[in-house]
Amino acid sequence: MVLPIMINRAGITWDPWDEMGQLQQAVNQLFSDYTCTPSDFPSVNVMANDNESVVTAEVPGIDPKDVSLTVSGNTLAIEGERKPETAQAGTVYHRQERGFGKFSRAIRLPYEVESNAVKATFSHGVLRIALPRKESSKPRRIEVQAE
Amino acid sequence: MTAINTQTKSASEKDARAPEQTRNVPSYTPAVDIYETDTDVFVAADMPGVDDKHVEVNLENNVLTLTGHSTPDTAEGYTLLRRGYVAGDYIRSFNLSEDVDREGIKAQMKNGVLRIRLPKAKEKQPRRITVESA
Repeated sequence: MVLPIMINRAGITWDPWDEMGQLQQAVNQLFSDYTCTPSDFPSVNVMANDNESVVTAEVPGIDPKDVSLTVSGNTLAIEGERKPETAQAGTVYHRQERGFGKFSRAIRLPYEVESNAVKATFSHGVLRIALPRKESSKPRRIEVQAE
Repeated sequence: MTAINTQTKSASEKDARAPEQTRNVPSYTPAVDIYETDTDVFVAADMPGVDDKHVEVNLENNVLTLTGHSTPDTAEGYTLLRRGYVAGDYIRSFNLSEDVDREGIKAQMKNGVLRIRLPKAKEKQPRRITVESA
């Protein structure tokens, strides 16, 4: 079957195959994050500059003591557990939307980090992890000498 | 015995009712647990990034409204590599039935979770009547 190439009002050629390709790409991107770990909890933001990466994670209702962080090379692993509500006898649940249980998530960072200098803070249910870049992984400028 | 009813409305219906926020940030419906004991109704809502100064619990015309504002992380000087969430507002309301003791409502914010305790009105609490033998 030959699909017609259409031209829209702006005069731009519309190629249905191209559109399909874009959709495929978008779907692949959507799932690419979850190939290592199936969990998307906690939600994380990753920011970085030349010297430091910062990872923030939303972990509401989790005791900082129940979270463990592991750094190896350029991978940060967040593991923890959200405890269920302690229900007294005779409690009737109307809604239970807040999940509980163990979680783990691995995040790839843009470069290797100095694992001894990693700092993590916890405030109002948000975990913020600052990971300084390893000195040896910093780019070095090499001068080209003219003969 | 149900002391609380949650509002379940379609998006368009909700928009027509609730006033829009002036802040240009996304607003979320926080996940909640609602449970009751013989004496109280408890509500717990996940609001990560919200501190006790930016949370509001309102009771008006039997509608309990929870509002929280989370402050976005300052990312100046950093390039965002992955965005898993966007800080925003949390809004949710519930219809309360009459049998809550309004004066005794208590709310607490801890680790990004808002917890509200709504004591049931005394006359609505189940009472055990002991039968005396003659």
